[in-house]
Amino acid sequence: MSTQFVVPKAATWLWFLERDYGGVALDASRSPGPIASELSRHFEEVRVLREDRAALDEVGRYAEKVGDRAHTLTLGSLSTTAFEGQSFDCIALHDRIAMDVPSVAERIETLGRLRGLLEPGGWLVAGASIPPLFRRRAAAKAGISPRGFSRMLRKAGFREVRRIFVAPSIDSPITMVPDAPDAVASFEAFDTIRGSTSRIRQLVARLGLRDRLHPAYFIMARA
Amino acid sequence: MNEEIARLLAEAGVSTRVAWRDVIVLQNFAPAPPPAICHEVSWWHRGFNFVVLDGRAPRYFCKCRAVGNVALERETRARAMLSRSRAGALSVPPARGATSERLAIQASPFLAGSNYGRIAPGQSREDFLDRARTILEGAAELADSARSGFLSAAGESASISFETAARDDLDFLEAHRLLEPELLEALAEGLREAGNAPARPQHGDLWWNNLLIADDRIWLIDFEAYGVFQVPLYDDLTLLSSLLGLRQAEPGAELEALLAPNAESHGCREILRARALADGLDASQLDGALAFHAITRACAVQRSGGARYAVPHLANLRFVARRMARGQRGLLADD
Repeated sequence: MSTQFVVPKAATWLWFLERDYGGVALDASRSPGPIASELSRHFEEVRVLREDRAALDEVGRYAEKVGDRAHTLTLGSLSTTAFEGQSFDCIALHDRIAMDVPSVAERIETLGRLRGLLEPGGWLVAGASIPPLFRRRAAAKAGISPRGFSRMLRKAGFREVRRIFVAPSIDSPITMVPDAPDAVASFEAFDTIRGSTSRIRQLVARLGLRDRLHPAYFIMARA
Repeated sequence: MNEEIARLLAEAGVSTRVAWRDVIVLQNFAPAPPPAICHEVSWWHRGFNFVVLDGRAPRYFCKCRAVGNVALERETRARAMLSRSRAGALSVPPARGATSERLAIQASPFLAGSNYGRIAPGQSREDFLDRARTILEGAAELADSARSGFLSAAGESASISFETAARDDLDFLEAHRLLEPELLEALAEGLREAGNAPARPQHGDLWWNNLLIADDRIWLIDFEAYGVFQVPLYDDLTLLSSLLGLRQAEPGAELEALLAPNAESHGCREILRARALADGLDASQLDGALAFHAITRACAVQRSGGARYAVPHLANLRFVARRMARGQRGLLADD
């Protein structure tokens, strides 16, 4: 009997960006290949940045397995790799900032450096889980509050920031709800949207506590 | 919103200018388009479904798939035609499609109502049976419209063999060792005994989740498998067993509930026998229809989603197979 197989779909956020096919994207996530694969169907060229050779080879093997054209593979880190300024139309980080960059100051510095690699109007996209209230669970360590992440991006010089709530996780986002009052209210109000509604969730949405209703989010910032 | 999708939405009749904050993705199954080589399961081809808002009001329900997606094309064709047919017990929301070199979009009006699964558990036995009968008669009316409309051009055959219709799935069950050989043989024997039946287009996924109650009407949705199955009673068994799953049974025991000696199950079997008569089956063919239904549901879920979701469907299949292996017949007959 076959085991459960989950189709990778972590970059559906690509359809939320106002752009058409073409340009160059950088996959600087930790994904073993699916994110670069999705990027390759939206961008003419995909470059992949990983900190170790094994991870880089894994992305190459995945591209071969699913029949993608070869990506450009680069060994290096977010802080040391010397790409030319304004080289990219999109940088995909997935959970790199939340998982690998510990302090707020370092995060802002890293995001600022990445902004410099984007063409004006290019997009940086990251994801994070939302820390639980009172930070009781260990998972809180890997989370960044949506508002906190937005502040960091603005301090790093990005001119527009959008957030999309997802569930159950950024690795396997089944639902994606824009962080906008009308969208969140709609999502909570209709049986035929959410499957089932609850008065408590509707109240929480009306009170503006939108980030309490979802476990994770993508954040998209325009340079 | 991505410019390619925005163009396709406009072509498919979405009249508002769609911004990123107007789109809620409800079911993100897989990347669209999928990669060139897809391994493991057919879910790679399911793309994603989303709702387009106009302010706070949901206006359109949309599907995005890779261009050439057969299921989406089939659904758009079926809904475009059936939504115009004379309104019977069931209504069908219209749908329009648009395609680019790599994507296919379908847009339809959003239905702000309740899923029938929210209503059925609270109904009285009489109301429940009445509603089930009405829905199945409505599905039969739609099948008549489909046969005289878009399916007539598809070269549909007049008669269908139960065993031939289930052959691929029987082979699949054997190849993946999902059922013991003696149970497989019992099912094959039941199908052989049922012989041939008049072909009858089925919705293919008529369970409570695909019925919406809105604007005082019952809407049937999700026509992606419409006409794929032609064996009579497939839809009837799908609907009744799924509803009994809400009202009586745990997952995996729905068909056991259908055969149970209680008044509600008896009422369901009565409906099935009436529907069988209307579809041109005789009483001896009901076991074949039951076996076909159990085999096809289990294999469809196993193929598309892997083992976890198929477990209850395989339990239902095993239940039917065991009864047949013991030589029991007339499973849906009167008590």
